[in-house]
Amino acid sequence: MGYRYLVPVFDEMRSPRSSPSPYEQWDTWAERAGLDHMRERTRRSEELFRRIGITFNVYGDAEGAERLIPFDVVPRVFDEREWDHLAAGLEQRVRALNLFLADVYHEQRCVTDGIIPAELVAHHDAHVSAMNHFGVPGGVYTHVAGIDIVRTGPDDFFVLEDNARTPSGVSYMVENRETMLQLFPELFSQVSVHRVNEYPLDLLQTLSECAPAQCEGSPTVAVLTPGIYNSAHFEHAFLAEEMGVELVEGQDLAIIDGRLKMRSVDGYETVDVLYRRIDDAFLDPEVFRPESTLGVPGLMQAYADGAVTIANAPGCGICDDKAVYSFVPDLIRFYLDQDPIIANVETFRCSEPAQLDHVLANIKNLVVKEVDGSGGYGMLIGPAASRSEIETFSAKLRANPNGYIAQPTLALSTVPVLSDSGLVPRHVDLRPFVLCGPDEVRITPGGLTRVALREGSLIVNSSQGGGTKDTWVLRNGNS
Amino acid sequence: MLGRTADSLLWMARYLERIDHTASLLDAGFRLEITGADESNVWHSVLVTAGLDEVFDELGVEPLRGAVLEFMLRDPENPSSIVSMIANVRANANTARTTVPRSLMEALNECCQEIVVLLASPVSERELPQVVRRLHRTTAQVQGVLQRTMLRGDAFRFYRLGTFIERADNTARILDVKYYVLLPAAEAVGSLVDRMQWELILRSVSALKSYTHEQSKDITASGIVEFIVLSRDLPRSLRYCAREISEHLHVLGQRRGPRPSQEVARALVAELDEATVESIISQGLHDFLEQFVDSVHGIGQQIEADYRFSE
Repeated sequence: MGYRYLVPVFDEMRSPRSSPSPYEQWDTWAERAGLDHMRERTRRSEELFRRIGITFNVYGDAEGAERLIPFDVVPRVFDEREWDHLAAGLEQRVRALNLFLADVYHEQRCVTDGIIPAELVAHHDAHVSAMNHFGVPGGVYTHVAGIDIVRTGPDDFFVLEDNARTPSGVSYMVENRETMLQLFPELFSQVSVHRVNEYPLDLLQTLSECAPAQCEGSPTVAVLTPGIYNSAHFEHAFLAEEMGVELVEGQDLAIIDGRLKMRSVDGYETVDVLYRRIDDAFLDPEVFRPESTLGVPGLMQAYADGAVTIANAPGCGICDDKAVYSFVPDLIRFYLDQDPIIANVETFRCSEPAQLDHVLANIKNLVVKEVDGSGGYGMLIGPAASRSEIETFSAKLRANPNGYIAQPTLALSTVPVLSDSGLVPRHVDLRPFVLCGPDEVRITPGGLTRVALREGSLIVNSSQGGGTKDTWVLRNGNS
Repeated sequence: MLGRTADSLLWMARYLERIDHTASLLDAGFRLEITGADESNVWHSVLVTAGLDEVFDELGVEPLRGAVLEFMLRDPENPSSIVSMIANVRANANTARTTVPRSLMEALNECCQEIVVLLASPVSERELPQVVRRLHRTTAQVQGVLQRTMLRGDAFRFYRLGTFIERADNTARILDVKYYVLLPAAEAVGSLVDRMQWELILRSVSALKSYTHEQSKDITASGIVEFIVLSRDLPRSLRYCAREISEHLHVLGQRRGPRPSQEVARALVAELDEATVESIISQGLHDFLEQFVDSVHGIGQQIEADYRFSE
């Protein structure tokens, strides 16, 4: 297919590499199918997404409109070797993050041994003191983690961000595949791709393995959502439905005789494992925000008593922090005595005076981020910023250096995207989902590929013009 | 199943049923108007039938076609306008999402989208018949998918309870609003006005054709009462609705253990099985209907309590 990528940026389909491109089979198929066919299918995909109702509520939108996240019909393809490498690195990282959290809430060896500064741990906003010295069921803190990965070369993968609170997007991983199967059935009969639809059952398995001490028999799991107006409600309902468990709201729940109960048509039934998709602050008005009605009064006490498991564990947010992120490679060495399989992006901590000076001097070439920011907000992209933006941001940096980190702007890899003018290269990232049980770490071969649809843009967030793609991991023997 | 989910299923069904019914009412009103009835009489009567006359009066405008259509189709301030109701259908469907099969969810999404597009701008006289047809068709598609695909489990039962509770209420209301027209006696139609009023009744329960087929060639007051209240076969008759409500509660009781609502519904069916058109008219149609509406309302409340819809 006619396609011009942006030398020297690494293009995942066409840039030279030692092994054959994993896109070969798709490319052959696309040559025959043609662009018009793919365009026609793109229109159908919109219809499908609307019908399924996989829309994205935008807060503050006057119409309360539900928007579609743009979907690109060109898959993003990895071969099995690439994936095995990524999976090993993801497992290693998430195991280390769990050990780190356990340490943070117990001995804090990481602090006493000088691996990480105390203020990044004990005085962190996301630190939950109720978790101190508490043994979480199964020893698991981050049952579900979304680790954002970027790539700059054939073997150059980096972790950009760890999402250990309530990472979202997994429903897109599954639904994007469902959509592709409907749009291009013949393609899948020619190319053998690892399935992604086992994710919900793996999640159920992981959650069930972390049943609390008081649970007898097979545990009852429920998904806690803030409600239908939350932007991720579709995903909450999707997961509950696929797992075959109840989707509950705070109003359905109560602590009765020390157990968490949900109001069913037959009366109150026990919930053993609560997969919550609300932030810590809303979990329990008796411990966190007193005005919150999204959670359950007394939940944290029931949790402490071993009556219920909360997944992810409260206080996980510490490892979402971008300053903590910069220490993760050290944490991997410290807890696992291994070298990190996937590197971090080089990160300058503005909290350290020498690094702050370096950042201020080179700000035009750096991306500066708030340590607790997300969604592509609160950041400065040096090369794209105006002089006055840089001045304003530099002043903010000087006033609160602890609040920022900086990273070089990466030449993110590109993949082909279908546009009006044919296939064009656009930058992507990848969010694989890692499930962590007491023993086993489960990673679905695939993930959420987000793509910056605007030419030249590096920002993949759906709130800022990003789209999604189906992510393929080829089965062995394909290339 | 969560009590709140059962509540959402029931109300999703009620709103969909009411949308369909509202479309029928508007259609009936429009028919009457263009075949010669007085415009403001007709539309006032439509508002009364829908139980919306008092809310409409607060707007301080005359009940002419344009204003009434806008009010009943598109006014977001009117909780019973079709745009308000479709928003409610959607919210309830989303709340109950985990119990709604995907094909039904898709049909519901399509239905909601179609209605939103259909009512994006004011509906003119010329477009009204088409709009009504599409409202009927899109809600019917939802019912069709439901019948074809939904497991006959608890979710289906709560949904159908909503449908028939709403339908029973709507049918009884129409009759009650018009009972004075039916009062005079059991004689054949006299004046043109009467004939129109009766047609409005039959049309708004989509039963004009079936009446003349099944009941009689003559439209008489007692004939209408008998047909709409007591018919075993008319899917909008009070008796039919009561039997459905009772049947679904019976199945739920078998599945989840007996609950009081089952008995209350059974009693209502027994009453209707015994009633004759003569007994109803001698009791007084208005009294009879008021009692019926109260009974159905009572069943609804009992269901809410039996199945833990709220705290």
